[in-house]
Amino acid sequence: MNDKEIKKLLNKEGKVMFSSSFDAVKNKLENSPKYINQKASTPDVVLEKKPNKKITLATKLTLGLSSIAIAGIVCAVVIPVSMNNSKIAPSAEALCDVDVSCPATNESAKFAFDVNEKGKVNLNSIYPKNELGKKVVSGLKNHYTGTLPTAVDEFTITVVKYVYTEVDVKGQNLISQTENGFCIIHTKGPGAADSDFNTKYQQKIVDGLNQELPNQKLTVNVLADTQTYGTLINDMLLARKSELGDFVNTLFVQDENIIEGFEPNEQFLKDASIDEINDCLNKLQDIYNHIPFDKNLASFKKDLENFEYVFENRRLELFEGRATLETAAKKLWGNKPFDEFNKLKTPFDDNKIPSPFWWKNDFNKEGDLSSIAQYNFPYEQLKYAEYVLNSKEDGGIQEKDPWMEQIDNPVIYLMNAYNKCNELITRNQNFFARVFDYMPHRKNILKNIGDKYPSCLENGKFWSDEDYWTDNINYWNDYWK
Amino acid sequence: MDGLELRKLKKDMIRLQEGDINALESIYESTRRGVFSFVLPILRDYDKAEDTMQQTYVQIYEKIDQYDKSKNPQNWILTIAKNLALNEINKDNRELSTDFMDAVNGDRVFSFDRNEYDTPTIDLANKILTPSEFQIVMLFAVGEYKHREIAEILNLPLGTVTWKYSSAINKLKKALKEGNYER
Repeated sequence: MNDKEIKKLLNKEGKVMFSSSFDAVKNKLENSPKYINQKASTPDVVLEKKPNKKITLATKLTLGLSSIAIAGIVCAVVIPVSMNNSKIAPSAEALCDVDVSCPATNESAKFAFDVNEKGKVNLNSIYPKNELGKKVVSGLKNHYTGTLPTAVDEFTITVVKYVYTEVDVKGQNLISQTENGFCIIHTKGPGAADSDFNTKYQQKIVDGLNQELPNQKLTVNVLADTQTYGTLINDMLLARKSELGDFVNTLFVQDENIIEGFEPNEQFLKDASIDEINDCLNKLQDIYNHIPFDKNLASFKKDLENFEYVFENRRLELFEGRATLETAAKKLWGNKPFDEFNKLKTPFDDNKIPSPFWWKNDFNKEGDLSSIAQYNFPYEQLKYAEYVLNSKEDGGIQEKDPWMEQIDNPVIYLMNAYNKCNELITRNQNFFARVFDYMPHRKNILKNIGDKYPSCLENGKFWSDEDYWTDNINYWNDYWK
Repeated sequence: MDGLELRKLKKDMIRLQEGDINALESIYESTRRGVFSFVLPILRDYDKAEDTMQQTYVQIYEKIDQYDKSKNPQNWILTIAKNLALNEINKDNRELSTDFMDAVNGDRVFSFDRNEYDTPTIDLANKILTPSEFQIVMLFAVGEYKHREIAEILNLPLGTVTWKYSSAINKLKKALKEGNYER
């Protein structure tokens, strides 16, 4: 049974379940003071009654669901530390003091740093203020060079070495760790913690760690990063940057938004020949061969999953966006062939358009659709088009394309947005497919991990294994049809 | 709910606001599945969920004057449903919570026992999924909301919703494959 069939089954059962008729509401309304008053004052305004429908009863299923045991199993191996009182002043001028303490050992790493006029931290301006602080700063400088791009009030520094992920009540990742022992506090981007993280959940994590692991010793390395998905590839590439030379800048481009990090080089992936791509993939394969599997394996697995699901989410979002936009464009365009869209000057008869910008005024009046309803105007879809295309994470358009600023024809706008979605889907899929999905070597990596560390598998497989992708791709392909 | 359905719902809401009580049935028909699939995972009790769903429409009628037509009616309706469901929980004299997600994620016992319906897959989902996964599955597969709408309703990132949905479906798939349910 695939995803779609399960969904259908649930939907079908739901229809049986929700067969409750409106008459039950009517009966309840009879006791409503407002309804009684309304009926008394305007006797004509009463709810019409309809005959009840008979529900076909099916066999009762007994699953023994009278109770559910919710077992909370904490299966993390934690070698902690903690980060009480991590305070970073938001000022862009003052020297910021950081005091990262470990309650278990009563040790405290103290250091300070300067913030430049752009709100960034220069690693050369981090000053240790005690012995442990020296270790922290040394750890930072060994791993990163240049500046930390995140504004100071957007990240929190902590000192950790553990394999642990804390998730808040909304399911967002608050903190996790890379394979190099670096802690990531997600402060923006996918999976980002809420703004109240620093007040509410950080304390919760600290309390939890203190309670569970009171006697562990503090070990170093640190730091806040801002992008989850970059960590796996970044760390692997950074570790071998000198050895790999230009390769990292070919397949990936350095991105200031990630600390000395990399993002897929979309232009290269778009323009490169098959041979060039293969060459890069061979090198990437070589990198995978050298992943230190025996080091923080669970963390590696987590990073791999994060990387995959961020891309997958973006891809799904684009699929949904493309379908929405096409539906909207078709509503306006009728049954004419799509490839004629770009030749289109205007979809409407001139006498139906009050002015070239008639719709723009209405577009801004959120909620008041009455005046534009006659044109079947795709208000929601236009908003959605902007939402999808403006998403700056994971392959969205970083800057607005010129056509997005010149919306004088909704059909052309939607068609452009639709084409852009297609382009982004292709890019994402090409990149992802080449690097992960269809890379035979990846299967070997997973197999190696599974052989060596069977506890990482569920029923002999990673969730991200082939079955998942096959089902998911089939699901969305069907959806798109 | 697509754009056309949403526009129709808005029109019905305005009709009801203007005194046309028969618009309530149209509102009920277009939103009841969504409301039910929204409150069931909160209350985890079929009868209470059904009662709360019905009460939601009485409240819509009662409070329609407060509906701001510039706002999304779906969200307004679900807010009413949520408040009623939370009231219901509080009435049960269980651990009180004013936090919606806390309530959803609480470990209340699920009374799903009923005689007249055959819903083994939903029952199984309720049994093996986490509360939030169950809610997302119900909203998507049964309530027929899109992932994007669910993200808005539950105030979660879209990525979290799609992630949890995928994870939930995989769990269900595995359980079904292992024959962990009866028909």
